Amino acid sequence: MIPTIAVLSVVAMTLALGTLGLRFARTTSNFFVASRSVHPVWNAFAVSGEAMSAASYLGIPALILVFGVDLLWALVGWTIGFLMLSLFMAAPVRRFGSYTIPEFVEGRLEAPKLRPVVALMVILASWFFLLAQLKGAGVVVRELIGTPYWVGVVAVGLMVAVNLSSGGMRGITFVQGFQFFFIFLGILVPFVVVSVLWFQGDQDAIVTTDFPAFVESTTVTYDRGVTFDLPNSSTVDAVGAIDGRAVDGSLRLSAGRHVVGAETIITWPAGTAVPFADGVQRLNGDDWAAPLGEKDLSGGHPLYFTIASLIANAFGIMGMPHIVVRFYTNPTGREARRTSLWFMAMIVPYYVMLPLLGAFARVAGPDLFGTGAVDGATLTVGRLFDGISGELITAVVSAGAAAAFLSTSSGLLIAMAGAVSHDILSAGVPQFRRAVWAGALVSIGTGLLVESININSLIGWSSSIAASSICPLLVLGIWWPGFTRKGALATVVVGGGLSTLASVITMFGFVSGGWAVAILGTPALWTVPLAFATGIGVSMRDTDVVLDIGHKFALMHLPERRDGAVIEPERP
Amino acid sequence: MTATDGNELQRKPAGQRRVVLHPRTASARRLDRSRIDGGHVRGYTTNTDEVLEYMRAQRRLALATFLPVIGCIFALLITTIVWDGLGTMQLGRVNVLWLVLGPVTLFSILGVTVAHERRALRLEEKWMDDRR
Repeated sequence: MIPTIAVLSVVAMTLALGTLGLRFARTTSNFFVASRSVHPVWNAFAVSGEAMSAASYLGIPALILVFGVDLLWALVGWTIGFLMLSLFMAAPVRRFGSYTIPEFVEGRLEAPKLRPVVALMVILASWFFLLAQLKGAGVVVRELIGTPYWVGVVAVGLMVAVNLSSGGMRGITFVQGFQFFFIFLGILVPFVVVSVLWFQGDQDAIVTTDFPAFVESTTVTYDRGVTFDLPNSSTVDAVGAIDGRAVDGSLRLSAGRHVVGAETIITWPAGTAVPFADGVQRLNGDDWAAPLGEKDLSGGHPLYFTIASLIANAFGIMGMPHIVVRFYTNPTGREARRTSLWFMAMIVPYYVMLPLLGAFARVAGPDLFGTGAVDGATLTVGRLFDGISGELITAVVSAGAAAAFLSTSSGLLIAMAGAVSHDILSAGVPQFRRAVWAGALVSIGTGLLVESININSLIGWSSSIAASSICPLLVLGIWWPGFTRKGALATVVVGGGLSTLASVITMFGFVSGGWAVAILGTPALWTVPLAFATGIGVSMRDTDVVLDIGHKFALMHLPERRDGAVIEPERP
Repeated sequence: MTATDGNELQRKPAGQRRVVLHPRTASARRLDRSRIDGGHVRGYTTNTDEVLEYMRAQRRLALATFLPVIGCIFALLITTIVWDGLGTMQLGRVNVLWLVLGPVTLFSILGVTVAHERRALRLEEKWMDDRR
């Protein structure tokens, strides 16, 4: 009950602050870039709120629960991405003075025909990322309230649309700043409490190096039908359907594979080694804690996965529209630099604490291995504690999860709506509002179909698309005067096209295992270098160079005046 | 690009001669007449060469930060591949690799970011001082 109240409080606060934003948001500049008046520290809160998404909050602990230490590389990749964002992008993108990434590309390259193509890439990358947030919403609401998966997806989609159509970027900046505190507390509180247990010498109650087992008699509800592999035979109490037969009472399950029907409830005795659902790899403690080995990452190629996810996460962050557009809201390029610094100081402690929730879940939530619902790993940490303290910790963690998917969903939807209304339709605030609702409804519809897809797969595809299309456009556009229109088009077609194709092939299950899954499921390892090489190669052979390059580079790179006068660049 | 015959040019009277440039050369000459030259951008009077030189200085600084970080990360990755015992090594019941990939690496990247931003801002200040 307490966790439900905590989540509803976050939702109520989000709606209240979003409605408040309506009073301040009137102009196009309000809606797209919050009038470029956000203080760097508050903007860092908002960027953190966006970056601390359901992908990290729920997805990383889920993967760490199953695969262990290898997933720390994903966090290293994201952190390098934020470093690169600070080194290569924060100040120049703000100084150029655009509202959106496609507008930046058009202004830098004088290529109006390229603008809708880049807008399409922005929409695709944001859409995959938004699906992951909606999936997280469905999982969290189901875990807490017991509602069907679709309730969380629809509720969050509609709520975000209401907020964005009311206050745009200005309103949502305010909301995301507050949501950051909930997300950070959701990780900090369990970290501190469990650390106290650890230093009291109760380590065995927190982490295990054995195969996971039920510490005490545990009743598990299998919401969806599942096939699992039971390591040892066990006598259980069950209500529902097992191996195609109706059961109601005590029965002995032999070691081996069993098919469990939807809505079946099984009570496992204490000490039983947990069953593992199909698709969830069974690793002993040493294999789990050590890197690489025989892990089933990228179709059994963990080294490929490690390098590819490093590249996808690092370069993907630089191309993520919802992160990049936040830097447009700073008053100056110098303030954008300060925002990136404050933001790094906030995200690094979060990334340091986050993996521990996945490690704790091996003791706190071993039933997840059997149900296959590992995306709920973060929410299990409260089970380490009895009574009201456990409930309170679950409440704090759940409130953080709700804030995470609400905040990131808002940023993604604003990026999608901005691309549609500003870059494809070239329209103003009324069309922005319509684009928000259209984007929300399409995302809700597709979000209902991705229940069986892992959150991190969706994030991986989104990152690969952003890393292979938007990132090279921005990096080459900002730092290389020789980058041309044809080079940019070739970058998007080759990098964006191939990464999208690979993602769609994997999403619809056209590849089932081995190297094909590795190469197509995490394509960034080859699409990112290919996109950069194509952009550079085509531009070097292109004779049609962009005119007035000195003026464009001056706009992007020259610092603001020391006397504090803010001279806005002319709109490209 | 129009092919030009040198002998034909020699036969034409001086008033009818046309200088045919490679498009790259033509573009480069056009760039020299950028709107920035002799004009004002963000309150400064400067020219294309100065702007590009300043951009290159910032780019060198960014790459001087980025490339060593990437080198260290790949060295760490190779270490985890070749050093079998690293995955099971413990320090006070905490796995060493978890410590290295967690707090050590992430806080080091934070430190690098802070150092870079300070140097980048100093470069901006210097550029402004030079134009007083």
